[in-house]
Amino acid sequence: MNSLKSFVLAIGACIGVPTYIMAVRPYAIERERQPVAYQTTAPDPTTPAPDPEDLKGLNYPASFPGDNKRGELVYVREGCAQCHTQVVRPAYAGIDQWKRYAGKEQVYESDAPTVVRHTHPWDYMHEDFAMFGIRRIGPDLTNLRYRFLKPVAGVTDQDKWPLDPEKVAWLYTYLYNPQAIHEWSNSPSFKHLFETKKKETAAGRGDALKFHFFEDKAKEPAKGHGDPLKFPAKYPEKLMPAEGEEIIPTDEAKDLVEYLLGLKRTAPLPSSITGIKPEPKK
Amino acid sequence: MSQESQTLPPEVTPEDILQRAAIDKSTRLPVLFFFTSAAVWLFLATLFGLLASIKLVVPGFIDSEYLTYPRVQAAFINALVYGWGFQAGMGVMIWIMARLCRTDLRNPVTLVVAGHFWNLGVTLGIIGILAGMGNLHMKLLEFPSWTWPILLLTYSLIIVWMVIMFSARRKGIVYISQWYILAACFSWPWFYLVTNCLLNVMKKAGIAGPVIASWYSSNVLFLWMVPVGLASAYFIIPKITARPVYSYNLSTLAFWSLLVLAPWAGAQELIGGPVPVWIPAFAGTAQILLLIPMVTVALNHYRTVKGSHELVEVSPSLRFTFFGSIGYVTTCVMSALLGSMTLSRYTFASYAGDAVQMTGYYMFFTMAMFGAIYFIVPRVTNCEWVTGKRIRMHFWLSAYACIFLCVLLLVAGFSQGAANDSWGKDYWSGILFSRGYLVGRILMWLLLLAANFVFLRHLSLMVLNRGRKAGSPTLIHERPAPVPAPVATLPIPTEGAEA
Repeated sequence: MNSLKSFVLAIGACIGVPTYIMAVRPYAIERERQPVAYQTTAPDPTTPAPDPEDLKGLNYPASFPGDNKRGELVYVREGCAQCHTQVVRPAYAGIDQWKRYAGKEQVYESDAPTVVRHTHPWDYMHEDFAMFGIRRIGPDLTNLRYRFLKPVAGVTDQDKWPLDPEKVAWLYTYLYNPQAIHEWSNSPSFKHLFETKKKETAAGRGDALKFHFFEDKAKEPAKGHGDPLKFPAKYPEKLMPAEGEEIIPTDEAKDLVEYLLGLKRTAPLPSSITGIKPEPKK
Repeated sequence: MSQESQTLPPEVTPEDILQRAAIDKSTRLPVLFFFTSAAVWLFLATLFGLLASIKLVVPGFIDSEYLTYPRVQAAFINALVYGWGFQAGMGVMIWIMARLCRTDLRNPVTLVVAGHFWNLGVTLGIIGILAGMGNLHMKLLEFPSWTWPILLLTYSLIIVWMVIMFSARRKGIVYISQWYILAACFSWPWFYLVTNCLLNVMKKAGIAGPVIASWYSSNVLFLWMVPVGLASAYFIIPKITARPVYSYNLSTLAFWSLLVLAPWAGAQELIGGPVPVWIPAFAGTAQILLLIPMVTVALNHYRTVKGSHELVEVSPSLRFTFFGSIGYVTTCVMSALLGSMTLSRYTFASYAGDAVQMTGYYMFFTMAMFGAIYFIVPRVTNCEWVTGKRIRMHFWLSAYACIFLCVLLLVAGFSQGAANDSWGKDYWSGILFSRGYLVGRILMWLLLLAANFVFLRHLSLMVLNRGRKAGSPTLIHERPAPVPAPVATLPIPTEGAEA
């Protein structure tokens, strides 16, 4: 091994093969990944049974959280991924699937937690870099959207529920100052995504930060499990804008919130991916 | 390589001494440049680390848009790795390579110019992160996308000289340290190039993104820091104990098993993530198998030092290097355990990952580099360290703080992970359960700040030529404790002897 050339060749062989298998190959697989069609007819008896009829003609995934590039950029730049994950691990690796605030079960009707499906590679299509996150210091954000929905009487499908403007306003306030809402929070404040402006009209702009929501106690969400979506009784004085001023979120804050509210990864999986026979539709 | 090449030359001739003096003189400028700027970056990184750990407990501390927790944390890790780690490592590589090749460094100015560009790249990167231009979602690649060509080109310029020196070496003699240095020279640019091409140029990586990023960050530790740290240990331990490395075969086994296994590891931290299961499975297996080179190196070092343990007491270089070797063992054991299925349940994305990172970067690599710096600087400046008291203070503050830092982070990680993995505990339990340990971490960072201040000041005195001009080498204890009659027939050299 005295010759530099043979030494370099040996090192190249040692690191070249793993480079291909551990980095280039996973990347190539991702570039080739295509949306999967829901099956509606079984080609032969050995394949799983067809998916429900109402998914006919649709692909999975149908929407991509990663398509909101402007919001994603703010998410990247502000380093949200340093503390927030976007991963729901399957049962063998943890209890993420049963964690509260993990997915659709946000509106409780009973104490029993609902199972959220774990995340699949298809959920991160169209993203330049899947936001798995570096640390899980704050809550997981995989299905953040479901925490901000307004229940509609008679509609059971949560995907058809609209966003609740009051809860969205809560999110803006939380980004502005997390400690005002939970004094135990260790989230940084993103005040720089907001600007203080003079009120142009007496009522102020519609998108300005609102303080003191839920003054009507009856409208405050149930606190059955310590619902985090609550407002403090009173805000610290120094946070409140001066008389005649209001706090307006910048476009960046709006992009970020739009990105966050687009986060949902609960669409049913085609049976060709899971291999699990779906329940026949009644 | 022949067997006898591992043994030290039987006698040091006057020509050897003259040649060494010439080598030291030729490497003086770049080596001191890299060490000084590395020490400044280490001090800055410590400040960022302290600030980040305070911010996780008191988020409102120094309320500024540029100093939010994620940005400070990213700036800290990157300043530690690219500012301190790489520059200290390059200084050590240049000097050891020149000494072992027995050739003068022909063009020190090129290296210094390249070093300035490296510093420029790191500075731009850190400013970019703080100003909100960084890729804060990619581990160890947080610098803005446009900085990587600067770092890659600069690094290539530096390793060219390493290769030139190696080609001009005295024929027939290749030391194990040179192998490790060459491995570090060639592997990092390759990983950095591949990773940046895939993630910053071609993009659209989807779930391959985190896989590649964790693969890269593991390679920075195991195929850059580990080779450089081991090269320094393989150089310093035989020098100070005046014995040849215990076993040549063990060194070879350790080297090639590291090279073969390490590039597979890294992605085991994604166990349970939405990636094909073979990726974490391969990586976790490789991480466990990496215990083989670790045990081999540890055995080799232990057998080399055996019988001369009193030298660990008095020699600053040997003491830091010895501590670094223990850090290497700890890093490998912790990485192997945390990459296992059972524990990943509790440590997924928790502070335990930070604990492994700090063990590798600090307990192993940084301490090994301190050892090398305490050895090299007196030789290139021709003066001795000012007082042993400062070295002692630096050692104990660093050792105490970094051991406790790692232990606290590990316990914090497990508390956090256990809370996240308990039925009926909401996510904020993880924040509340780990808070106490994070307060402890702040104290440890204060100690490290003091340690690194002592080190920076001591090093500046040496660089400004204000060290002790004459006399015996500076030892940790002013007067070595009465050593029992030498066991070996070889004379026991002391620190700073022209060995």
